Amino acid sequence: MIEIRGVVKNYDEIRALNEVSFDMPEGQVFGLVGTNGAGKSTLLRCICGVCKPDKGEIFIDGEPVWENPDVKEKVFFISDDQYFFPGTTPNEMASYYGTMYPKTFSKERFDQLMDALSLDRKRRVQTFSKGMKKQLSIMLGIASGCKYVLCDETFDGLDPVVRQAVKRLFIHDMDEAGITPIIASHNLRELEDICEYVGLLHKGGVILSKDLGDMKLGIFKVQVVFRDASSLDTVKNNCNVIAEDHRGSLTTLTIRGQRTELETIITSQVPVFYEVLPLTLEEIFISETEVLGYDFAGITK
Amino acid sequence: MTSPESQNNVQSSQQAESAGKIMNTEKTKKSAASLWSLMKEDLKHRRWMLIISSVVQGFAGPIVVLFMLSSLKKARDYGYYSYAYNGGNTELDLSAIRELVDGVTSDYMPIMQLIIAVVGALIVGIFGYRHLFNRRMTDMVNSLPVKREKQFSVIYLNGFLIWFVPFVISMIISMSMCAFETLGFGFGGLIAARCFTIIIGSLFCFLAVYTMIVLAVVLAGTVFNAILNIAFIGFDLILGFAVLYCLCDNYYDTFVRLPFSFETIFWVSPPISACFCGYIISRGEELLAELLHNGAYVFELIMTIAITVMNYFLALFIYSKRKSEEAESGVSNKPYRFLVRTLNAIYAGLLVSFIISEIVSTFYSSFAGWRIFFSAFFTVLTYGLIDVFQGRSFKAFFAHWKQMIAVTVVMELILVVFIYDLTGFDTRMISRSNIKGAVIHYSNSFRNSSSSDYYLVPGEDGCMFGPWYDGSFRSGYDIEIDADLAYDIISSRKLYFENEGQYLYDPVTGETVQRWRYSDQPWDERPFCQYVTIYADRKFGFDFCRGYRVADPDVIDEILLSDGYKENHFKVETGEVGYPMSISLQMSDGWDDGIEIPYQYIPMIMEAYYADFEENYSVEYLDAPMGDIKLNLRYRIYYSEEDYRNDRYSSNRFTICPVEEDSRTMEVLKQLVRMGVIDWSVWVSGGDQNLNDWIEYYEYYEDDYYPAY
Repeated sequence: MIEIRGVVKNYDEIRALNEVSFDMPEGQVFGLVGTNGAGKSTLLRCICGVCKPDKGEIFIDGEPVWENPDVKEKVFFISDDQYFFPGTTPNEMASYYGTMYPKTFSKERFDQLMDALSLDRKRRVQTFSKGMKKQLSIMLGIASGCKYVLCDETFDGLDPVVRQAVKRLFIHDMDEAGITPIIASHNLRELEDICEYVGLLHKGGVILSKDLGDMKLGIFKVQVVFRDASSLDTVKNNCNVIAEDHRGSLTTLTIRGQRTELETIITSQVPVFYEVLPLTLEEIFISETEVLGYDFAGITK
Repeated sequence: MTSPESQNNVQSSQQAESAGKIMNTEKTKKSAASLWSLMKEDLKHRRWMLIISSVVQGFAGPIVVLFMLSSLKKARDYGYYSYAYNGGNTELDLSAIRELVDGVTSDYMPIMQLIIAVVGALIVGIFGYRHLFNRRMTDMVNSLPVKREKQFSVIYLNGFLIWFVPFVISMIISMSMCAFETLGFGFGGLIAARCFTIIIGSLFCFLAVYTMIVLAVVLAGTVFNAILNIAFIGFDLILGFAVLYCLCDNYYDTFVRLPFSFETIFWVSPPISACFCGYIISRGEELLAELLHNGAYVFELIMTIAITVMNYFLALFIYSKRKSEEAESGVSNKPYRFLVRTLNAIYAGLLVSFIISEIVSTFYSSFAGWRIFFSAFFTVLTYGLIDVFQGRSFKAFFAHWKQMIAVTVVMELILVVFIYDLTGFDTRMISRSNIKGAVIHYSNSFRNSSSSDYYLVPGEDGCMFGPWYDGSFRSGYDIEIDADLAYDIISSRKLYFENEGQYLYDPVTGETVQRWRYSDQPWDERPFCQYVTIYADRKFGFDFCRGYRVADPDVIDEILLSDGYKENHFKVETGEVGYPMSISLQMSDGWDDGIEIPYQYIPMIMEAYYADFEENYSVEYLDAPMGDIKLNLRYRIYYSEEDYRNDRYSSNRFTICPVEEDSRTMEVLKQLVRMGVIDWSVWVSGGDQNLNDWIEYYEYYEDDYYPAY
């Protein structure tokens, strides 16, 4: 498990992470989502020991990660723009990572994965397309055999088929080898397919960190039509409404709470029509960040 | 419809999934990445450096030596020819070989290898740690399970090996070639010894420069800033000493020198001290012996080693603590960044002030305001520009405007302290207890000449062509006097010192009196002003040298005429015997490059020349009594006593230019030519004949044998 405790990270005057604390359980795909500049990449860089937090600590399996090779052997970082040595080939990169991860790296597996993706192992990496480089970095990460694979915007630039294959690979390795992929992304629909646990970052802080299923159980979208406005007011007063939208007589409310309690309150006002719908991850993200003022509704005015 | 490519992708993804089932079966417990395996991996990505290093060393070593050896072969052929022709002369052969061995091992290799070491250190230092200039690469390197100290050491060691291995191989091959070619002449030991000293000297130089460059690089976020850092760490402290010296020299009238010489403080600059010490070690033998017997050099050697060790650990510390986000940014490490800006901005301001005061005299106080203004301007400019370089944005010019103002104020304070002598350096008399010792240095200071041409004649107490001038000291010598006496001279008499030769100041009374040179003031009427230099032993341990100019020669006369003083301090030394220190022989009125006459023949020539002078020139011709006549041989201009004293050009070296009438002198010269003392084949610049022609010309007249010239 990765434990993040009160991590603060500043870039000169800019605070990238502000007292971030949460856990990333092992054996699950963890999705790290957040607004632009929320600190997702910074957090990943701190977790893999690239950056040292100005304050707070990060533990991996109970041990601090900073300058701890024994712990860093369990982590592989796939950055959003992975570096490859000039003029190098995939084989040479594999040899390089093989030296760096001597206990776990499997060249055999790397070769098989590369062959499976039809990537030439002897071709110069600089002649690869952006997507092919991305594939290569993912294959290196998987072949490294590390317990935690940190992926920063990994699915960007991959075609849908490869994206699907990578997801399957992650899930497969999670089951078979117990790896824990930690994926930072803006593409919430992609994450929703694969993630079981989600951490939501905004302006350097954690809004929430929960099991995706639990998260969906605690927040609902209700479409309701009341005869009079006082019924709507009563509902709003008794429920934790975090967003509302009106289209004619149809009101859409985003409400936090238990579904049964919610339905009791709504039915007590005798609505003409009501329907409780589950929220997608994207809707949850928008709702949660809207509450914090992350809303650009005025952009069209 | 799906494209063949996407079909291929589908197939690929299925294969990838199946490949996922092949789990890592190689999870055998291996040890963590070893230093050696890391070095091998690192070296793979720096092959180009190794190739360049090998090519350069191959060319600068064996190939160049091969060319030199071919020239030796020619020389030897010539030597054998001489041997056969002359009936035996092995000397030529031996000297040609010796010349080549010296040429390769003492002249060429030490310098060439030092140049390669410095350039090599620059390249491997900057490019070895190039990941620090690239955020993506930094991310990759720092995410790896290798301690940063280990990463640092791997890169450092590889950088060293990239230079060292080709260097040693090249040296061994070159020296072996040299030894093989000179086989049988007994130079093997010499070549091996010099090979060793060159390796040690170059190694010393490389490590010192390389370590400093590595420190500069780990403090930078871009190549440009790394180069700026190299300049800063390598030369800024030396620049600081130069600025201090300039300020003292420019603004303190009594300042003579700093308590340390630049030579002794080279150690603060690894590139300079490393090259200096490295060269001495490389040259071996005498120079090395000199190094080890000279306290200042030993100090420099030790300090250079200490600085190198310190630089290494400092670089290691900074590297291990360095923030990854500093890649691609300006200079890392905030305190260091501030230090660079501050020091250089202050230097810039002070140097501009110095330059202005050199252009317009410091004497004009009206320019003080301009100096202050321009110094402030350039301080701000330098501070802002460094900020721009560090911040990589023009907007960064005023990014630290508060610091900028503070630094400018500090610089102005320093400047004002010097301009207005707020420390009272000049006006403060050194206390008697603080005077360590004093010397009197004679000079025609008021006539702006640094030496004189008074010479002793054997058996006479006086100068060559006239009586001894009692009020003068022998030129070019510092004569020690008692500290108490020095103090008495300074404090009890009217003493003055000069400011740019334009006005005098009385440190005792504190009065400033403007005395223009060549005015009718009493001291200006006396051409022989004495210069007294006081060495003061400061309480904090530095010898700070102060100089006072004594305007009243009577003070000095008193010392000179005291019992036994003259005998003690004007002894005739061996080899000088009262004659000029050297004689230069010239054929015409040309100034340059006369032939030097060895000192043991000087009396012979001077006696002859004096006799020729007396015989050939009448008193009537000169319109003055002979006893008062002074001869400036350089110009062949004759002065009366009064004029002679005012002669601005004088020297302890005589230039003689004999003509046909000077028969005694010519005879002596001919003897010297026959003895091989004077090289007859040397062309004399400024004349239209060489000495050989000249001698033949006179022999024609003498022997009446040759046809008319």
